[in-house]
Formats: sequence, C-alpha cells, structure tokens
Amino acid sequence: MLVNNNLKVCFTLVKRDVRFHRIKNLALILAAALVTGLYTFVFLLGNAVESGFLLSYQYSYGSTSHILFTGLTEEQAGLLSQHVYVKSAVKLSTLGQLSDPMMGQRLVKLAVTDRDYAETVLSLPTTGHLPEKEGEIALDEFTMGSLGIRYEIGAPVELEWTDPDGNVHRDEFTLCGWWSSPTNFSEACAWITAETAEHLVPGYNDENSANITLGVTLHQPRDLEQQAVDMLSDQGIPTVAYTTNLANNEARQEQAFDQAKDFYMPAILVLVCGFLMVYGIVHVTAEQDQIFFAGLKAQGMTPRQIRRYLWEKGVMVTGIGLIPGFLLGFLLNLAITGRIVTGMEEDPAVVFLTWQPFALAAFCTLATVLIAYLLPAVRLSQRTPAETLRSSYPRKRKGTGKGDGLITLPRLAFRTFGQGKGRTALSVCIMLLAVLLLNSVWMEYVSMDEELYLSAMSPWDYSIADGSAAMSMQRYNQNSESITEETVETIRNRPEVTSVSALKSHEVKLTASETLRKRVVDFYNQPYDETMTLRETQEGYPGWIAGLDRLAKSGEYTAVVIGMEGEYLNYLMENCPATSGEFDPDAFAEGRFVLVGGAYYDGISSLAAGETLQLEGRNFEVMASLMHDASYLSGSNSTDAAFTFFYILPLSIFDELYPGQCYRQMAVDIDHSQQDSFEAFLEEFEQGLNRGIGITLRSEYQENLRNARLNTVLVPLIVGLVLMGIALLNFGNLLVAKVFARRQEFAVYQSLGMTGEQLKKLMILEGILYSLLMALVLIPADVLFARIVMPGVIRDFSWASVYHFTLLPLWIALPVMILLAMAVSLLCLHAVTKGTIQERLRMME
Amino acid sequence: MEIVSVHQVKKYFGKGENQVKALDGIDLSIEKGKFTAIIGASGSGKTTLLNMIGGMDIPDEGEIVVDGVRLAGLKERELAVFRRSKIGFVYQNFNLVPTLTVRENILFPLSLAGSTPDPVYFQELTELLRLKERLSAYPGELSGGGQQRVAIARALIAKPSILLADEPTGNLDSRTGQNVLGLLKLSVETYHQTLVMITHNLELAQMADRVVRIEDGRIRV
Amino acid sequence: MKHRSMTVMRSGMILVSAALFAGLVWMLWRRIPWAAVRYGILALCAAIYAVVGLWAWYQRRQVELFADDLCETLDALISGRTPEGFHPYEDSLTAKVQGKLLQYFDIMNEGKRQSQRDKETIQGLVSDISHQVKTPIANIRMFTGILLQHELPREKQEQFLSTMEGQVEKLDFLLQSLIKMSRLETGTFTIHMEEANLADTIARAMSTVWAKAEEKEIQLLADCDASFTVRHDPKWTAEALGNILDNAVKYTPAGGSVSVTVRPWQFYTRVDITDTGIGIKKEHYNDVFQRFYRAEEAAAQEGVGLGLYLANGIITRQKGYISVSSKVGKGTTFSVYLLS
Repeated sequence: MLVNNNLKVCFTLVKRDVRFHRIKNLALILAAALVTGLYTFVFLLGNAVESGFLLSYQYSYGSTSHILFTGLTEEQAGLLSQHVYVKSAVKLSTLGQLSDPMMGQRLVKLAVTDRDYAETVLSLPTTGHLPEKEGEIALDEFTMGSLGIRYEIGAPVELEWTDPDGNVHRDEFTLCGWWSSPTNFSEACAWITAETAEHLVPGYNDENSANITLGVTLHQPRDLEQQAVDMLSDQGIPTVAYTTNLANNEARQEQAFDQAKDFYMPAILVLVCGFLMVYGIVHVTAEQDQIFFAGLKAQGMTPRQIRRYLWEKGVMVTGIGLIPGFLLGFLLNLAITGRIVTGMEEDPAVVFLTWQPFALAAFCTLATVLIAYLLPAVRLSQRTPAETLRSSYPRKRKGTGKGDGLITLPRLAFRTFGQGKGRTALSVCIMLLAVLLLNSVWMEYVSMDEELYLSAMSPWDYSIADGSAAMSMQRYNQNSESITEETVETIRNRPEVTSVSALKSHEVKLTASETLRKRVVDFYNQPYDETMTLRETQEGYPGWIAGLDRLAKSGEYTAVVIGMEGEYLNYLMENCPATSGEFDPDAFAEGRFVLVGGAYYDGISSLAAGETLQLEGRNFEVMASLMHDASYLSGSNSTDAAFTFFYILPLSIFDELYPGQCYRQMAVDIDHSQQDSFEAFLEEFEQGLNRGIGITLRSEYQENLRNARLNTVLVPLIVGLVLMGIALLNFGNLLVAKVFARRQEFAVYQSLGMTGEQLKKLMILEGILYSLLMALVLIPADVLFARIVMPGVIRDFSWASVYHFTLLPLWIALPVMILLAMAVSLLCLHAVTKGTIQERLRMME
Repeated sequence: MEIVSVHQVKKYFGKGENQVKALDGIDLSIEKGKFTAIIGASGSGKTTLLNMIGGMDIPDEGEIVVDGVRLAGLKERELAVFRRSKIGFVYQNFNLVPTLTVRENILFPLSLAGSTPDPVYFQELTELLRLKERLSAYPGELSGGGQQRVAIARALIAKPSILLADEPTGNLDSRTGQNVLGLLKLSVETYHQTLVMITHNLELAQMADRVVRIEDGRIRV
Repeated sequence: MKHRSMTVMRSGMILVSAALFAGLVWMLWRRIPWAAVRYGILALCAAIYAVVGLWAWYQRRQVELFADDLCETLDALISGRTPEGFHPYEDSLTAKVQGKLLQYFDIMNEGKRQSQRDKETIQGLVSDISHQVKTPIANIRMFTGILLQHELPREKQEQFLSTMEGQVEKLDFLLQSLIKMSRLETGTFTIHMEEANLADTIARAMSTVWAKAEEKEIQLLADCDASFTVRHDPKWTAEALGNILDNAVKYTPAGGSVSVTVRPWQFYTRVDITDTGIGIKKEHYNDVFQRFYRAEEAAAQEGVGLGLYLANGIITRQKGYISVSSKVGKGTTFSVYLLS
C-alpha cells in the first residue's frame, strides 16, 4: 500500500498553534526547558560523581594509561607497543630513584623527559616548563617540600639518587618547573633532559638495560589483566611486571556506578514532575482542545495525523526548550556539583563535562513531553467527533433540588466542587506528592544528629597525623619524623586538652604457618551471598587479591604492627568485636600479649587466641583476634600491605621492638568549651612546625556534617521545590480555569442582581473551600506519612540520623495555598467581569 | 439511485434512568443528486442523524450505508478518510480552524488528504463566495456571514458527493440564509451532489426536493 | 531529455555503488589484518546492499501494484463493472486516485444520463407540441374550407377570419416556445452575461404584458433603482421575467395588482414579482416549474404551461434560482435570485 503522504498539514497546524497561543506555548517551552535543565543537572551530577570515583581510582593508581609495564628493554617496549590491542603507548626511561633520606619511602624516579608520558601520569609542570636544556629539572611539590627547595624557577636543586645497580650519585640541577598533582602521593617522576641523562650515566639507554616503563592505552579497556597476559605471550616476552589501571577494573566501575546511582535516582522524580507539569499546562485548555480536535477529526483528520500533530508539537516544544534547558542544567551543575564531588582542585562540574548526559537529558525530556502530549490523544482517538463534542459541552447539573430552594453564597460556592472532579483530584495528588516529598526531605535534613555523627566520624575530637598520612590516599612513610615525643608532650601540656593518645605503626614481612594459610584461604572462599565469595567482593582491589594469592602460595605477607595506647585501645574495644579470645586491658599492658586484627567479618581470618606470634625474635601470645575496623588509621599502608594482618601491641612494647620510630598519629580530646582557643593554638603550632603534619579539626567535622547534610538532600530538595512550584501552579490553574469557565454564569448572576461585592465574597469563599479541601487531604496524609513511613526511611537514611517528627513544609505550604487560592480567584474575577453584562452575555452565544 | 440508506437506526444518550432516546428507529433513503431538507423541533434528533450519516457518530442500533459502504464496518482511520473524501459538512457554528487562514481553512480537507487543489475551481469558488480579498485573513477577523462562506467553501472544495448542512443558515438572518442556500443549490446542481440540510426555516425547506420531518427521534410523514 | 537524464542517473548510481564497494573491499584488505573480520565486515556490507536493493525492489513493487490497481479500476469502469477489491476509505494513494476516478466516472455517467433525458424531453416536447399544434391547424383548415367553399355574409367572414387569426397566433406562440425550449433543452442557446441596467430589463419584460394588464385593469408597479446594474443577460432575463409577469397577470383577477421589487443582496439580487392572484398550494410549489404543468385552478386560463419552466431554465443557467411563496387566494410571490 502506497501510504498517502499527508502529514505536511500537521506542521502547518503546529506552527500556527505556536503563533496563536504564545503564552501557553511559552509556558510549555519553559516547562520543557526546566525539565531538560533538571534532567541535565541530574545526569551531569551523576556522571560527575561516577567519574569522580573513577578519577580517584585513577589517582590511586597514578596513571591514565590502562596498563603499565615496567623494567622493559628498548626492544621489548617496541614490541609491546606494536601489539594490535594497543591504541597508543607512552615510554619512560628511568635512570634511577631519588634516595635522599628526606624523601622517606616515596618513590621518585629520575627520568628522561617524555611529554606524553608526563601527561598520562598527570605530571606536567603547572608553573614553569619541562626541562629543555641540560642540567634542568622539573619536580612535584611533594618532593620539593621534602627536599626543602624554594618555589622559584632557577633555584638550585641538589639531589642524591641511586641507579639500578645500587650506586649512589649526588648531582646538582636547576629547577625549571613544578606541579602539584594528586596522583603523586606515592610515586612521582623528576624530569631531566636526555642530554643530562647521557651526561650523568653514559649509555643509560643501552639496548639491554631494562630501564623502560611502558604505559599503554588500549583500544578496548576491558579485561585488562587478560589483555596484558595476551600481549606478553603474543610478543614472546618473558614475564614482565605490570600493573593495571584501577579505574578500568570492572568491579571498581560497578562500584562507582553504585555510588552514583543515588544521584541518578531523582531522574525518576523529574520524569514524574515533568510529566505533571507539561500535562498540567496542556490540560488548562483541555476543553478547547477537545473541541478543536473534534473539529479536525470531523474534517477527516486521521488518528495518524493527530498523533503526528501532537508528536511534532512535543518535539518542537522540547527542541526550543533544549538549549535554555541545557544552560540551566549546566548552571545548576556548576553551582552544586562542586559541593558534592569534593577533594578536587579543578571544578568537577567542568572537568567531567561530557556530551552524554546532555544527549540523555534531551532524550528523556522528549520522552517525558511526548508522554504528556500523547496520553490524552489515546483517549481522544477512541471517540467519535460527535462524542468528543458532547462530552465537552457543559453538563447539566443533577438534582441539588433539596432544601428550600434558596441559594446562599456558601451553597453556591460548594457547588463548584461538583465540576471537574478529575482535575481537582489531579491537583490534590500533585500537591500531596510535593508536600510528602518536601516533608521527607526536611525530615531527613533535621534527622542528621551532630553529636552522633561527630562521635562516629571521629571518636576523638582531634586527630593529628604524620604529614605522609594526612590524607587517606597517602601512603604512610614510617621513616617520617613529623610527630616526635616532643610534639606529643607539647599537646599534652595544653590546658584545654583532657587526653592524648598516640599510635605508631610498622610494616614487617612475615611468613604464615600452614594452618594460618589454610584458615585464611578457607575463610575468604566462604560464600558472601548467593552470587559471590568473600574473596570476590574484593575484586575491585587487585593489590589485595595479589596479597592474598601471595599468602596462599608462599605464606609470605606484609603485616602492620601497631603500637597504641589510651583512646585507640578504647576504640578497638568498642568497635572491633573479638572473634576469639577476649581483650583484657591489664593483661595486655603487661606486654606478653598481642591483639590480632583480621577481616571485618564474622569468623576467624587470622591468628586465633592462644596461638603464638613471633616478632623481631620475641614471642607474643595472641590474646584475642578482632574484626578489625581500620578506619581509625590515618593514611594508608604500602601496597604490599593491601592484604594484611594487624598486630597490635602496647606502645611501650612497640618502642622496644622498633626503637626510634616516630608517631603515625595521635588522638586528642579537649574540653569542648575551649574549642576555639585550642584550634587557634593548633593553627599556630602547625605553622611553626617545619614538617608537615595533618590535623583534622573538630570544627572541620562539624562543617563536614553540615555540608554532607545539605548535600544529601540537595537534589531531592530542588526537585521537591520544583514539584511544589508545579503543584501550586496546577492549583492556580485549576482555579483560573474554574473562574473562566463560568464567565457567562457570572454574567447571569450579575444580571439577576448579584452585586460585585457578593461575587467577590463568593470567590473568596471558593478559594477557602478549595484550600480547606487541600488541607483536609494533605494534613492527615502527611501526618500518617510522617508517623508511619518516615521512621523506617530515617532508619535507612544514614547511620547518623535520628527520627524527629515535624510537618514544617506543610505548615509553610498551607498558608501559601490559601493566599494563592484567594488571590487567583479575585484576580480572575476582575479579568472576567470586565465589560458590561450585556456584552458578556452576548459573547457566549 | 440511492446514496444514503438509514435502516432502523437508534441512538441513546445517557444511562439508566436518565437515558434519552435521541433516535428511535429511523428509516431513511436519500436519492443521489437530490436535495433533502430535514425539519423538526430542536432536540428532535436531527443533528444526531446528520452526524451519523457523516460518520461522526455511531448508532447504537441499526445500520447506515453510504454509497454502498456500511459505516459500522469502517475503522476509525477509514472513517476519517470517509469524512474527508465523501462528505462536505457545513456546521451551524462553522467549526473553522481558528489558527489557519481563510485559504488554509478552505483547503484544509485537501491538505488532510494530501491532495493538491484544483486552482481553477478554487478561484471560481472563492470568487463566487466573495472570499478573494480575504484569503489571508483569519476566521476570527471575519463576520459571521464571512465565516459561514468559508465553511461552505471548505465543504465544497473537495467536491464531495454528499453535502451535509446543519442549519447552515441558523446563525444568519433570513437574507443571508437565502444566499447561502442558493450557493449550496448551485454547487449541488453543478457537481451532481446530494444535499441534506437541517433547517427550521420552512421557507428554505420548500426549496428542497424532499422534506423529512423528525419528531422525537422518529420520522413523521 | 527527461529519459536521458534518468538513464544517466541510473548508470551513475550503479557506477557509484560499484566504486564504493570496491573502495570498501580495498580498504578492508589493506587495513584489516584479520581475515575473519574482513569477511565479516564484507558480509555485513553486502547484507546492507542487499537490504537497500530489497528496499528499492519493494518501492518499485509498490509502484507496480499501484499501477495495477489503477488499471484494474479503469478496466472495470470501461466495462461498466464496479471495481473489485477496492477499499475506498483506505488512507492510501491508490484509494485516493481510485476515488477521484470513480467520481469522474460518476459525473460523466450523470452527464450521459442527462443527455439521454434531454433527448427524451425533446421527443416528448415535439410530440406535445405537435399535439398542441393539431387543434389550431384543424381549426384553420376547417375555417379555410368553409370560407373557400361557402359564400358567407361579410360579418360571418370577418368572424371566421378573426378566429383564424387567433389560431394562427396560437400557432406562432407555440412555435416560438418550441424554438426557445429546444434551444434551452439542448443547451444551444448562449447567454451573454454583461453588467447591465436591471431596470431596463424589467421595463422590457413589463412591456410584454402591459397591454394585457391594461385590458384586465391590473395595476403594474415596479420599484427599482434606475441606475442599479447587475451581471446578467438582459435579453433572456427579460424573457424569463416576462414569462413570470405574464403568468402573474394571467392569474390575477381584474382589478388586482402585480408589483416588481428589486432588493440587492450580498450575493444575489432578488427580484420579487408579487401578484394578488389565486395563489398556489404549497405542495405545488415545485410543480409549477415543471413543463406543461397546469394547476387545476388555472384550467380556465389559456396557456400551455411552459412559461415558468422556461423562466426557471433561463435563470438557473445564469447561476441564479427562483423560489415561490404563496397564499392561496391572496397572491403569490416569485422571487428571482440573480447572482450578482
């Protein structure tokens, strides 16, 4: 069947509709823009959160390359980079490592400048430039801090470094640039030119020297481990060390998406809101539209043409609203994303900007608008034109003939309820939805309990950590000497301080016994849930997996020995349940015993109580094995210790085992009334100190809570406010439509002698009646909601939330509603009663 | 030759107690090329009958056959095509599309069908109906009579075989009413169309070949 | 020229697609190292080509079906059958074109039927007229015979001759009517529409009944703006109006009045001819315009029942129309609507 091409007329109708109903279409376009904006914002935010997580994985990996191969010869590197999987490869030639004692354990490679490589490890100078002349060097700020180098181009740099053969060199360079990069907590490069390198170590770049690190970017960043193995075996290269990017680890990506899911969720709300908004606006003129469509159908418009007409209208409204919507969404994103995705130097709203959220938002808006447009059309197309026309004629009212037949104003006002019940119900529903949403958001907001949060976030008021352990991503350098005995004393002697507890840690390589090995392997092979084992839950942490595999194969592992006292021990007692044995503080203080920290999961995953541990030649009996919650430790341990056991000793015994080791962190409690003076002291103290320490302030936690509290409710709050706006608009619409529909009726009333004053009274009465109706539905529903549903929601909302009963949003919304109802009715009345009664009566004929 | 055949058509409005019989068993046969006038008091079911012949409403009982096709057997989509190709409808309240110009309104049935207008006929029609000067105006800018003329032009433009007019003169004074009727008659004679017209103006009805009187949903002879 | 360019386009398309395919193959073999992938892509592309080809075939098939449908319809119409498998209300091009064809066929048929009817009408007319003619001719023959064979007194002769004259006049009238009618029926009479003074036309019409009215003492009134002009054919319109006036005068008793009023309306100029005659019954409103129709009440008057028929024909041909309203015993108004 050759289909008749007769859809052109639809477009004409759409164009004309825009020209004739400017205000309505403008409102629709604005609505579409708002919907687009909200979608864009939600998707941008979700994307930013997701990318933020991925970026943080990338930071902790330290490079943007998918796989890093280390210790390659020139030839091997060439072979690998020619592999078909490889999209691009970057190469780094290292001369050796900086070995200045001040560097601690940070790994800084002395390497030949390679701009491409520098890009992948985010190590391009932000001040100055990469070395160009012989003798120039570019460093990162951390290294400069450790070495005490002035922040000045041309400053002299004296370095001690060790080549792969173990020879120590000492050379002088000139600083030509530096950068501060978040990826360089543990590893970094110091850039020099090729000439300098040749000068320092003639022939460094020999064919046989395995000094090349190759970073490859793959065409398809999936199954990195498998691809790495394939590449090596394809090119016939014997096992070479490689690492894969955490950000491309599938488990990690899933994890990131899970985290971002909560931020994507409001899209559903936007869908509902958007639908209601567009539907509401379209519906204002529903009756005229019905007549209009009936007329078109009577002229022989086919259902296909009507659908096409509505479709085109939807597309047009969406299309025009798209750009402003994108802009709105972007601005919202700019204003809010930075608050939610924190810890970045650049604005996450800009950095993570991609086109996908925009495209998705456009698609979703189109879908929303089309649903709102086409749903009424379904009903329309099932009726014949005559039926449609009949149904849109005002219906005759049925028997209110009881009583004395006299009509009083309230009775007249009451009658209006009879008309347009569907629309009234819709209006009430939207309002209910808005109030419930706002109420839940508000209850969530007030439920966050500061005391609870603070006591959980930081069991102690202040945490002072070694500079290398100031942030959780940083690897603690056990050679660092930032917090000394002296520091502890200074703090302890402050008048505000009530208690100070200190903690030290040390990593040691140990070998597990056969029993422990078997126990641990069995423990991690137990099922976690129906789909995976305990081990598989850790797939996102390749370092951890490697550690466990190493233990299973050879029994070797890196243990973290911790010496602690006071508050830290209390913390362990409270938060780390024992899986075997029992903690006895007095016996522990004697020094014969060790506490063992294993996985935070039921069952013994480490040495059990009664077993013996040998450390530095001394034997300790295991007092208890704990489900160890390591969140009290500042900084992170080395990658070797990603899978580890924690051996906890009294601080004094620790000092005997590892003399001269400085503090990793300390916990300080103060008299809360003197918080300000203590924080002032701390600030001064930190500045006076020549080494980096990380101080976590109580006020920072308070600030954090406030931010977190606002951030968690921000997105639903915005959506809730928009929904409330829509609800109020819809309510207003309802009233406007009611008044305008009775234009003629009012003229009749007036012609029968009703005064303007009485008409006004009627309007006010109606406004109040409608508000009452709203209140009648809203108050009980909201109370029930707050009483029955919300306690459960609050319980699941956050560990730091406490249920409080409040109906504040409702109390704000109700008066607004009443005012709106009366104002709108009166304004409309004014518009409607313009002109003489005669004119108005005639107009309707 | 019979072009419209209405057989035992019944139509009810409302439900239960409030049910009203709009049409109560109508039998009617309309000859091709003839002018039939339907008269009757308001509420007697005239408009309902006309709507049903025009495929705008569906009878509850009975059957309507127009030009050999049973309307009940047509799908909604086909009914639409039926309306725009077979029927020219002139409404009492014009039912013009307010957002389209006079020209577009007149050509609307053709646009819906995806056809191109016959320029000569369009010219002739607009000249005859005195619409030439106002082609780019919008219906709202025309007087009642002007809108009526547009409605007539629209009903005639596709040269439909059946013209249905629901009190085309109802809103007009008797002079203009006579005018309108004259134009309809003219078209009917020129294109061998069948005209069915509702009116309560007996003076106009007398120009018809046949007058059908409807009372309480039944035909009275 | 058109065909040439189509041919060029077609070969162009074939060449381009061949070139594109060759380019594709070249690129595949040069750039894609894995044979499996190469063949896979090639297969996919070939499939796409196939689908495109299928699509083109589908389009072509549709056009063929369309043409077939049309031919079928035409065949059916030629042989006078109703086309089979015709869905008149499908939203398709076929249905659209078929619908138009049928409509055209219908109108043509109607025209054929009309001319058939016209033929019959003329035959009837001829037989009617010849019937009408018989009586006067017989009368004349009789009187001529008497006059020739008998020597009659002068008064008698004169009486006979004047009767004969009346019969001759009647013959003349019949012949005139015959001519007019045959022209009207066969459509050979041409109407010259011109912007002309309506008052003149009315005056011309009235002049034909002036004498008769005078005779019956019927008042003739005319109310027309002397300068009012309207597009019409003055000669034929005068004829039509004259016929109506003639009728009016005929059926108005002595001492009555016949008035002509002109009202310019929006589309039509309405010329009312109102008499105070015997009136027409409502059920005969339509009949009065029928050929040879004579109401029973009118039997007393002489006439053949052609005047109004002629008048209606003339006015209709000018795209105007005539309506009647009447009260029995009070009078009749014929309204002539001239398209202005």
